[in-house]
Amino acid sequence: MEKNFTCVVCPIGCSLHVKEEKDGSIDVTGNRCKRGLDYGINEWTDPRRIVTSTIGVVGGLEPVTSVKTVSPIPKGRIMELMDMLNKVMVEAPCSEGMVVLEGIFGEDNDVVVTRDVVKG
Amino acid sequence: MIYDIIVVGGGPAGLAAAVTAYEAGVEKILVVERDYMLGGILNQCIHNGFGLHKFKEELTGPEYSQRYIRRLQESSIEVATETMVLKVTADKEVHTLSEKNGFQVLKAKSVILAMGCRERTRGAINIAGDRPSGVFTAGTAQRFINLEGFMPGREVVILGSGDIGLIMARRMTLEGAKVKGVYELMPYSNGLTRNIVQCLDDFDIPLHLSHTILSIHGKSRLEGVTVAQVDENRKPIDGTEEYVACDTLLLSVGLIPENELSNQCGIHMDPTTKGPVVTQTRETSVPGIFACGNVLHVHDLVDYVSEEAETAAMGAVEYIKNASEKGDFAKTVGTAGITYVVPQSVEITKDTQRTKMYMRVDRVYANASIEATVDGKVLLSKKFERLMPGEMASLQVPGNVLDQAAGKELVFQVQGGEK
Repeated sequence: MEKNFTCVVCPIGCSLHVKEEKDGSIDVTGNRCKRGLDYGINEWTDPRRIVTSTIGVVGGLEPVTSVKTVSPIPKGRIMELMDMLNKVMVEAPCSEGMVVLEGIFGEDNDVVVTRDVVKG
Repeated sequence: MIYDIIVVGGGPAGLAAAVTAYEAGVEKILVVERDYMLGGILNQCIHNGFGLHKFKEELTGPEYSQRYIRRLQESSIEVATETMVLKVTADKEVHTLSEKNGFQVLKAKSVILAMGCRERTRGAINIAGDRPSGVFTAGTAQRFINLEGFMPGREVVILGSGDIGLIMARRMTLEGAKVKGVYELMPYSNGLTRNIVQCLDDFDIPLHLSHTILSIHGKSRLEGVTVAQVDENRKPIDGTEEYVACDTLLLSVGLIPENELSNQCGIHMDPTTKGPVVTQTRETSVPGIFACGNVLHVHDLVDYVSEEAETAAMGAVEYIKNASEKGDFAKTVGTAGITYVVPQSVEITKDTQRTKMYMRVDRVYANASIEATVDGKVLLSKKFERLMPGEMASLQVPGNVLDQAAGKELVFQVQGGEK
């Protein structure tokens, strides 16, 4: 079994060729860095993405602030996370790095604020 | 009071330029920004992927700008927000207008232009049809969703596959909208490949290459658009028209450097980049006025904007110190596949350093080289696995090559490569 992917780790976008050998080992070619190698293996076995979005802010200069998952989450659960985020509200002020959801999907992965919002 | 440097614009280019000049020992610096906050468009670019070159990690837009804003806050750099620059003169006067201070004429020893760019609108591409609400540039929709908390629509068509269009296709999908398709006039996408993969493929959003929008329908609110396939001359093909119902049309049809101030100042412009003609220090044709970032030419990565801003800042610092040496100029020229080269000229002095040239190509090439020639002689060649118009290419030209180009043309061209 083999497949081609475009690496999304950085803007270079290497064309990866991923091949699963009969012994179960996964062979990645076309990557220019170690991160691309890891991406190729993950994309084959368990595709994941960093998700960025916004959450509501009460009493802030702006009504929303931006957030991200600290590490990639399973690709198939992105919309599930969006439903969770749509229910999250924080109070101003809030600042970069503040955790708004802890350990999502039972993993060691938090959602943190990526933009400061001062009181409005 | 005379400022050493006035920076026009508080986006990524302006921030990096101000911080770099300050860290090089310049004390009296002012950043003028028309918005109420610093950071520019990065504030609404909440997606990740910024900073891989600069910080060796993947940041979101706000996180990237925050790093510079913190350094600026720790410095004595002055910031004037909610202040519009009306005019920059050749003798380096900056005319500003703000609610707080009214009209002011500020003087500087050097000015760095960092006004960025703006999006082309429906008017710029002349789409026929009704004029309903629901037609936005992708960046406007991005500002509504990510900063102002409004959702611009539910059923979306996107014209243009530039990065902002691709990113908004994903963003609107995440927020519950249905993106019916991305239509691209050219036979290739203008966005980064990684964005096609993670913004369209991940969400099964179709990309229609060689397509355009013929007409917009809807009296008060957008009801639909007519799309059609185009031939190799970008002319619509009869019989391929198709009606697509939608309440929102996002346009991602290109960016234009915002150079009203540069034009008014009499700065020489490059018709291809639509930005000022500059030397390797990013000095414009008006001595002491420098330009960097998207006002100079549209970049695909903010990391390159910061890098260029640092170059411009160091140029301004040297100008103030009066340390710049005079030398012969080498003119840079793009031909055979190269649409433009920045900087447009290089001043060759006795210790000219190697210089990084940024350029774009006219179409997609695989396994091609970019060559630098002087008098028809190839002095430098760099291999590229893939070259495409949407991705800027760069070439480091060593000092000894530049020396040979003094008073001549340094010509860049694409050599070989399959289509």
